[in-house]
Amino acid sequence: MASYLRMIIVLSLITLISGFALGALNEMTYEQAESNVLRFKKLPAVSTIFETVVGPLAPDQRAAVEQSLLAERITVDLGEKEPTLLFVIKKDGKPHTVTLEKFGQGFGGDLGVMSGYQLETGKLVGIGITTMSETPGVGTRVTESIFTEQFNSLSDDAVIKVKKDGGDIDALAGATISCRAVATAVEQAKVFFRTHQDKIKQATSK
Amino acid sequence: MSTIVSEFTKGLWKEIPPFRLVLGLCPVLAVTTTMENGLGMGLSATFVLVCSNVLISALRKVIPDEVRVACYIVVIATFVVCVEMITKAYFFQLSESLGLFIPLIVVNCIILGRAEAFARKNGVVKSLADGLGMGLGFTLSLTVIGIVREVFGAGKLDLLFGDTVFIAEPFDFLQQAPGAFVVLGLMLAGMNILGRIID
Repeated sequence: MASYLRMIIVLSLITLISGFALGALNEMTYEQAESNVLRFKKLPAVSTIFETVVGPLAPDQRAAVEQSLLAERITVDLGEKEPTLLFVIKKDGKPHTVTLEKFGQGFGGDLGVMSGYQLETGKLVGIGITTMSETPGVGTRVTESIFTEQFNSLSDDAVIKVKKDGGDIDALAGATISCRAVATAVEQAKVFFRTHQDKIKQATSK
Repeated sequence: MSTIVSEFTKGLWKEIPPFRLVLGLCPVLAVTTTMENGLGMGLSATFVLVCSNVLISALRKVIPDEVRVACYIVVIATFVVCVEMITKAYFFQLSESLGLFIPLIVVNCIILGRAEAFARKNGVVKSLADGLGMGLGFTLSLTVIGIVREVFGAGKLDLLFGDTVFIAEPFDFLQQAPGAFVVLGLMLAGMNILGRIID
């Protein structure tokens, strides 16, 4: 009996201590980790969309623009599990485009895509890839402009699917699954934006 | 004193993990596409190995035999999650490229293997030397494989020489998984030949 008790006590104690230690460490690093994802993943995607809206950025402008995009981000509660994070791109001082992130199922897990929509017309203006774990050299080519720029000039009735599935998006050879994931994410974002367009407009004009 | 030194050095040549023990091959094959990844993975594993070795050896008289593996896994997993949080917060690019393989250090057989085979039978200082030696051996192997695969597979060595291109048309195959097997196999063969000559 005593030996059973000892097993239980020792294992429980070790688990307890490690739980507390990890909790404390998480507290210390969580904010830094979140801000890394924001700065190194989401922001570059938003700034590519910014470039298609406003025009190309010189390297020395980029940092300042990214700073102001970061400062002007808003979160809106749209009935999702978590409030939705939106970046607002301004043109001539007025909110012009909002970007939101959605995910598609890629070859190596979730593939995040930031897509930008014009506030007035609801038109898709451009996309940027945020997080992914696709096969290097194959699926990772979805970040190349030759693929992403297709989305910039899609007509309103375009079907956002790869051509193999009957849509209007040219997939990259050998990377159909990754391209399909991007298309799914963009389509999801489009539906989401259309559904909540009014609320999003309200939120950006505040 | 001499035993401590020999516990340390055995991990660097005589029992160097991926080549002599042929253990922990999952990260060896998966993350060594570049020198930076290899080095980062090696150092992360070394940190976990050293910490878990020391703690398990310190607790060896407290932990009952029947539940030892469960205790070891909890200890190892704790340190692994520490590494994961720290890389996510302070070495973001590295954590992006290592991805899933950091959490997978939990099931790296070198770490549980050293706990089971060494730390639970030896004192803290000896376990520290053992963990340090094994970890550095592991790091060294991963770094060398990473260098070979990056130089010949991508034509450059980002960590040391930036964008300088060594090979204009690199051997792309080495960057992919089958290439990792080939490099590992050739290095194993090389180590065996070298070992025979030295002996």
